[in-house]
Amino acid sequence: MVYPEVNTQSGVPIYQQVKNSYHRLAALGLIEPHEQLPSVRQLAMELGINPNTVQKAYRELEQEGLIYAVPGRGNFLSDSQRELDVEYEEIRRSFRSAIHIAWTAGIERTKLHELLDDCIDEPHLSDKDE
Amino acid sequence: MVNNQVVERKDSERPNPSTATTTQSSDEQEVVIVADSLSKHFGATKALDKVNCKIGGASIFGLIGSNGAGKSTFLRLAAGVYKPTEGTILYRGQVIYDNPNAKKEIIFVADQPYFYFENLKKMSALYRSLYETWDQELYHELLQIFPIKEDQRLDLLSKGLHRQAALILAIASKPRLLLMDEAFDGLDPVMRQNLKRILARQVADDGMTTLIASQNLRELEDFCDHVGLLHDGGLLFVEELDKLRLGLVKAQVAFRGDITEKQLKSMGLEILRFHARGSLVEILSRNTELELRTILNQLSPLLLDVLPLTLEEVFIYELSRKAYIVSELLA
Amino acid sequence: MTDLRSLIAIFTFLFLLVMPIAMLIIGREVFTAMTTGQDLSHRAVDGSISFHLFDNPLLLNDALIVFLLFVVTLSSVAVITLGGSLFRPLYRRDTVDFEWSLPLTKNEWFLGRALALIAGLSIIYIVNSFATSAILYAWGLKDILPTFLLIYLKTYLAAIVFTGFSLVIFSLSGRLFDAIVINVALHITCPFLLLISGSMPENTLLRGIMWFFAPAIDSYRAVVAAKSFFYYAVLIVFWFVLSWFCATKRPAEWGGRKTGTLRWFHGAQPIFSFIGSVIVSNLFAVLDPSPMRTTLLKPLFIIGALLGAFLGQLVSSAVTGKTLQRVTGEDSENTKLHPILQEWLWSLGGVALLYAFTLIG
Repeated sequence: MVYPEVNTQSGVPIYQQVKNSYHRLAALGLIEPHEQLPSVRQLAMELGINPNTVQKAYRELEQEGLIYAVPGRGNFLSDSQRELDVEYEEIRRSFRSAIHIAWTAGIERTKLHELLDDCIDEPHLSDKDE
Repeated sequence: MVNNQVVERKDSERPNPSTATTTQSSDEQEVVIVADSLSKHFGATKALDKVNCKIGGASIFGLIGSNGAGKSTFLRLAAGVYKPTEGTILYRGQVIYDNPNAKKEIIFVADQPYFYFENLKKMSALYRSLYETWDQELYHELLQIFPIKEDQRLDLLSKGLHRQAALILAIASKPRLLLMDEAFDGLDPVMRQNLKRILARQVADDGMTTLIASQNLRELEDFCDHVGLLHDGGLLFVEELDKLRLGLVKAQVAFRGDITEKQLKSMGLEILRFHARGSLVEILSRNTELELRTILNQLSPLLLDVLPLTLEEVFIYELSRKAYIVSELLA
Repeated sequence: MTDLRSLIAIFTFLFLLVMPIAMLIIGREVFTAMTTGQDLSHRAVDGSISFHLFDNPLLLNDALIVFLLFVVTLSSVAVITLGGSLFRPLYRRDTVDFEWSLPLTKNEWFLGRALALIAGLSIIYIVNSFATSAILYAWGLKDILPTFLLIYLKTYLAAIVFTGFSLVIFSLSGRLFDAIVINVALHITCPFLLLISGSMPENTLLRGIMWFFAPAIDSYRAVVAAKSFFYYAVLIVFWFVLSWFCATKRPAEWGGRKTGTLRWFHGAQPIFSFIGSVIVSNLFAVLDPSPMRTTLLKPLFIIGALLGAFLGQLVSSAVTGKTLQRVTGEDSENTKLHPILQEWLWSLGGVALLYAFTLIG
């Protein structure tokens, strides 16, 4: 069973971290559709975090459609195409910030494309996300 | 225009401290502790003065305050040690003071635990006879986790181990309500994590409600779901931890030219703190992240980073709103 | 718990040492030599109680009486020590937190402790009475055995009276040390008042009150001037009901506080002035050679009363840790008199009342 990563020191709300982590795990294919997720109890115990926080993260993930709950059995990753709008918006914003800096530095469009490709090819990027 | 509406809505959402509710979703979950105009006076000293609050079932509630703020007094009232001077404190609708029916479901781990007998073997026998919910299996499991032997002399233990012995007895009694004064004090990081895991299991399995008092916000911010802030015997606010951060946003921005607080305010940002270091500006504002980005992007910033907001900052803001000085809380 | 068991063991041994073992040491010869075999009804100090059991005059032995007086003394020490050990949880914050958060009612808590104390004392007394009886029997002194057992039972009852009285003081005090000091102070003051008021006419009511507040001293009378069982029964019921009330109503936050700072103690404050007045005025009256017919009018007596009231005030201030003015400060807004003057008037009134009582007697 795959557990999400949580850093209690980061200052980011823990339920947010749990959600983000599941989104990433799903996107990376580390969790298969219809695969069962750890129960609230398991996850809370494993990470030493508040079960109510886990509950809240699961509830929101269910609302977002990433997971579905089967009463009495637990939570599972859904197979439906995920709503990526939220993520797209987030990425778009980061790009905009970067483009602002690039423009003020006088970096051209083609150079910017190269830079993006370089970044994608950088090793271990997926490890240091967020 | 739009912003004003948003702000208004948030203000009405923000609970009035005098009627603060901490139930997760008050419809589903039962309220475990209700304090109604609860006061405890010691002579002329008002250790607690007219505190109102509700603590929901299965909640992990952090009670934060400096020395003498009234945390221990509140816990002692909830444990039935003290009788309220005025007002009431009820556990599931029952008076707690001198009521064994309520007390058998409540365990209080005081800041200085006391042991009637000299070792855990005898103490556990006492607890087993007093608390029907006592779990002998769990007790043995806890003995494996914590570095205390059953026949070890308790009076010779260090302060930290003393507390751990008290926690073993408290947790193995499987209370419905666990009250802990400075719970994580004197625990090393490994023990701290162990304790959190055990408590997490009890909350998940039995719906145990936990009330932890601490001087240190950092100790509680990664574990509680609700926090209450006590100051000078008054409860300043009670809030769901994650909601505290909602509606507040911190960002680092840089613009080509200079920009003033006034300018940003005129564009509809509700700035709470504006701090410029050269061209870099740090903003704390009472908006959503989307609002902040939409407004600031109109100014084509060179840099716009939204930073995670620590609870400390939230508290400082909440308290400065109430004009209290709480630097000692965050030391 | 272990404390209590070892304390009971220690006192059982001490009791044995004081009575049967000491008897064995002086030996049968010396012991019987001291047997006067007199009818004790002549010895009764008050003269009101006759020493008869089933119409037979009771016989006792002088040596035995001395031993019994030692037993009574030791038993008072035992009551305070065992009681202090059992009620110590009242006085520390950590013990109060522990005990008061347990799922027990205050009634259960008090009953458990009080019964443990009585049981402990009973064990000590039963062991001792058996050992002593066995020796008396072995020495062939069967005839004084019934008397001995009857008196012994009364010393036991007197010890229970003192236990109830001590429980009241334990329940009212903020600290164990204070409880013991108050208990001892009362036992010094009351007989001292009796002694000093020797110039007063004999008054049984007044003396009764004095004995009432010094039950450990009163318990000697169980030996030399035995009271009726009814007397002990009434006192036991009275003190235990009062101590039950005080213990169950006692607020947890009193634990560890100086008794002088507790609210009820401020009410006890005029008593200090009053006792001071009585003691010093009487001491002065003895020194006054003026041939007044009533002591009340002797100038030295009145000066003594004023001085005593003031000294009593000082003691009270020392105990409460508060200044004279502040002790009565809350009331002084309503009254025009200075608090010290007010205290003096109270004390003088009290002393005069005391004399009025003696005149009735």
